Amino acid sequence: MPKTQLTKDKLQQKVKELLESEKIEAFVGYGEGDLSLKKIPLVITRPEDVSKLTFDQTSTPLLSRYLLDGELKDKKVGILLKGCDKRALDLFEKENRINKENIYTLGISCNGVISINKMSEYLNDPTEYELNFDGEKVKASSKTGEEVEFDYQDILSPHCHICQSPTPEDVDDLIENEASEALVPIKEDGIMDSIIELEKASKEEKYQYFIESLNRCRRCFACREACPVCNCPKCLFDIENPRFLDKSTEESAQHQYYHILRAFHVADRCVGCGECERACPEEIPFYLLHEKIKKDIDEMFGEKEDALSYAYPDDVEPFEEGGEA
Amino acid sequence: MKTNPLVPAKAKIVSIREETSDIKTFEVEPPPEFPKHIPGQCAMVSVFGVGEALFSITSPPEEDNLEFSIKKTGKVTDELHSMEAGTEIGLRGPYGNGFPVEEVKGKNLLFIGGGIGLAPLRSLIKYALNNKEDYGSLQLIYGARTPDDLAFKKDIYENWPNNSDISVNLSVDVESPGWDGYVGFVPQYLEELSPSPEDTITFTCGPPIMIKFVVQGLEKLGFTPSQVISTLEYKMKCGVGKCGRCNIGEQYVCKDGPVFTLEELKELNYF
Amino acid sequence: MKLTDIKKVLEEAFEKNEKLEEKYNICDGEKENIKSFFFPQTEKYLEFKRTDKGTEFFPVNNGLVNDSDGTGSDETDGAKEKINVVVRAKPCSVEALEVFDYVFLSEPVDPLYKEKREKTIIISSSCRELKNSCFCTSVGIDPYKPVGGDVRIDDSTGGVVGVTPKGKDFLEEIFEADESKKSEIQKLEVDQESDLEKGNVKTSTEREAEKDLANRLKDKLDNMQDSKLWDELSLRCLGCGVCTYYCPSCHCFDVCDYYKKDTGSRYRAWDSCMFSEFTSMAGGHNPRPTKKDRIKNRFYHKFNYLPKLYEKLGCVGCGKCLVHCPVGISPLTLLREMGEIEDEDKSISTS
Repeated sequence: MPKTQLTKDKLQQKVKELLESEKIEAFVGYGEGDLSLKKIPLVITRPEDVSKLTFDQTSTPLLSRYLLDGELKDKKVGILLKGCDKRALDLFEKENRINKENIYTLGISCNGVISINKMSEYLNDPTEYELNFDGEKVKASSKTGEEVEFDYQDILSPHCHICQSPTPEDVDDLIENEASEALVPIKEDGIMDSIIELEKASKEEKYQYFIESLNRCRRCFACREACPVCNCPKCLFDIENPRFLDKSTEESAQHQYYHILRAFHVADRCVGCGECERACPEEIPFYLLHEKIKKDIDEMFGEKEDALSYAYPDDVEPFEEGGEA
Repeated sequence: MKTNPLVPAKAKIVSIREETSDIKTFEVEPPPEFPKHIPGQCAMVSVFGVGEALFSITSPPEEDNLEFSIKKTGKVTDELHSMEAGTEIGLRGPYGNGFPVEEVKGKNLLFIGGGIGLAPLRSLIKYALNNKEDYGSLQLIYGARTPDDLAFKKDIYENWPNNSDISVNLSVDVESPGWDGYVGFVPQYLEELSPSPEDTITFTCGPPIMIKFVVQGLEKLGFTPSQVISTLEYKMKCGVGKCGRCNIGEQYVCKDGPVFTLEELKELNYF
Repeated sequence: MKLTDIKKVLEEAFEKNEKLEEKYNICDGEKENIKSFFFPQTEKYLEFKRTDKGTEFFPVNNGLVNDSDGTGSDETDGAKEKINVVVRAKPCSVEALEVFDYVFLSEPVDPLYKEKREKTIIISSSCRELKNSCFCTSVGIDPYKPVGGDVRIDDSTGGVVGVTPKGKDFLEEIFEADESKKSEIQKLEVDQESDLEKGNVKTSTEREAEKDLANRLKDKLDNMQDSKLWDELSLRCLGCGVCTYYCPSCHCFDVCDYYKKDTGSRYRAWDSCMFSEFTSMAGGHNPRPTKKDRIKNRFYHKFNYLPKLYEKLGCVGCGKCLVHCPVGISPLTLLREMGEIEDEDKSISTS
């Protein structure tokens, strides 16, 4: 039996028990979508629907965000959580956005998720393929019979390479993912290779790289909406009077303004789920941008929590030009 | 040269009257090519550099200049309120279907308005008074939160009460010093006055919540959905049925409205 | 030679002939969203200067401003003035243009769109690359039959034919410039071993069925206002605008002003019915306040309102929304719910 099937069986059995015993009224997990590479968020309320639940390395969207929305907010809800998703939930709790009493956390040891963007470095149209996971190898096969084999590492999402706790901590119950251990080659320093690369570049090259990337933005706001921690009830950029952000997508400065402000806004709350980058249809490397800012903060302020929320007299940058804080 | 329907023509503000603390009436000299409007129609008013917004034309078509009564609610209206007579604005239109002034000939007309909602009705009331021979009796029920919030004070206190062709019933929501008229919400006043639905067409404009209860009241009084006419206020950007935001069902409020019968609104699942 | 090589043929012809190169710009209709050629994301249409005396208008480079003292423009931006030749325009993209034509060429005609539409040459061809995300056959489109277009690559006979006068003229111009292209272009052979013959796609629905399908979906949706489907979809939807921005037939726009010092401009820009502030009014009232209202409106617009207005669907089954949606929402969910396509037990259910 494939290992994903084992995991799936355990998951379904567990959720069935939870629903039948009425411990929860609804469960938020993953279901099959219309494209095999994209599992979709799925809410079920009946024990007989547990067969729709699934989990594998294509279960990418974060689920915790759904607990902030009206419909699920006041229900007793069970939720499947990967490491990053649990970190998001913890943040919501800290910020008083959820009532933890109502939430049953079912953790799952995560072995990373694949990146379609990564796959497109090797394949013309990744969504035309189905994936078969076998240990550290992944076989992609198209309906026309074409087969390509990858090392799992090569198509793993960038954020998974540096995830320090793929297995969620402090959950009500944990499902051991059968395929887990061998698959996640975690970099223990938590620094992405691409950041090291980026830092070697000159100031101008770095600038060019980000500007060219950001200029592809169409202002669809998928990065913002998919981000679990970007969840202000009213976003600054949605305010119409006064309007802070032009609708025009021609001005480079406006792209910088939106994305850099957003990156700073979430920098000390970012849970490292990579959803911003995954959601972006233009493949803008937001995750890299966020990680670089996080790294800079860590280097400048020490690995301090809430580094952006507090100011100290000995802050690295003075508050006023040439002046003292 | 091909003309772009989104490009406004320039028009000058001739005078500005203060109606309430947050409503001003702007008298605007329309550009020569601006077609005559039908009561209930709207026009897109531009403040160059700030934006455009659609307002109902509150003057009747018989008058040379156009009037807009505008409540201060957003960036365009804020800017308009800070303007002085003589300032140039942009104008395009008229847009929308307007009230069915021909179809309701021979009928009694009942006008029910709340707050700034009297603005589109005023164009029709003045039109009906100007063409009195075409219509039966005219009655107005108009309310606002306080006496200060009642707009068009000259019309509602002087011009119309002194005109035997129209009866005027005013109300305010809350007890106010110096007010000896009706106190209560417009739908309550309507119930108390209980006008007869016979041969009568009702025109009602105001906040959505007022319209909702007025409609219930009218149905209780025996008005059929085809006897009730209202205007809808939606956010609009183009005014010509293309930008896609003011649709209710397959109808565009800017083009197919803003005037709808209650019958139509029910078909569109609005009520 | 394969069907799609029309791009190559034209590129070669342009390379050899400077005049053609200067006049035309080849666009790949498969890579780029065709609507951008006619309806750019941002489009300035008025420039003005505020002075003590009033407002002065300046013509934007397309000369469309109807100011009495506007003189039109002599300045031409080279790239913008080129005629776009859109190759590989697939049936879904071309069908989507019909929605645009319906909206922007009906009265009052939008001159910005019209001008670009007239200046663009569309070379339509059939599509033999039905992808997992494609569902054009489910919305009545025959992917093997090229539609519309000024020039069409004809599958039945092979070869390229001019359809409209400007399409015919364009071909003539190519032939005049390079005689050898005549035989080359008229003998473009169809890739015989198509997906269809390999038996890996659904058989095509006839185009005639489209009207019937539109009516059927329209009627069904008339009674689906209270369906639980909208709750399910809105629960999952994140409320971003990806689906609308990448949709070839979505055309909603905003009108905005830009102002700095004394000069400013007015432009229109893509907007999305999925955004919360799309319908929210200055006074605070919002007729579509919830995500459910908005997603419902989006699907109704495509499958109910547009068919009511002009008997065609507003969805062409290209699947771009599905490909880009971060949580995998697409009209397939709706079609499945309505029983128009087979239920593969993949749809979300919270009942």
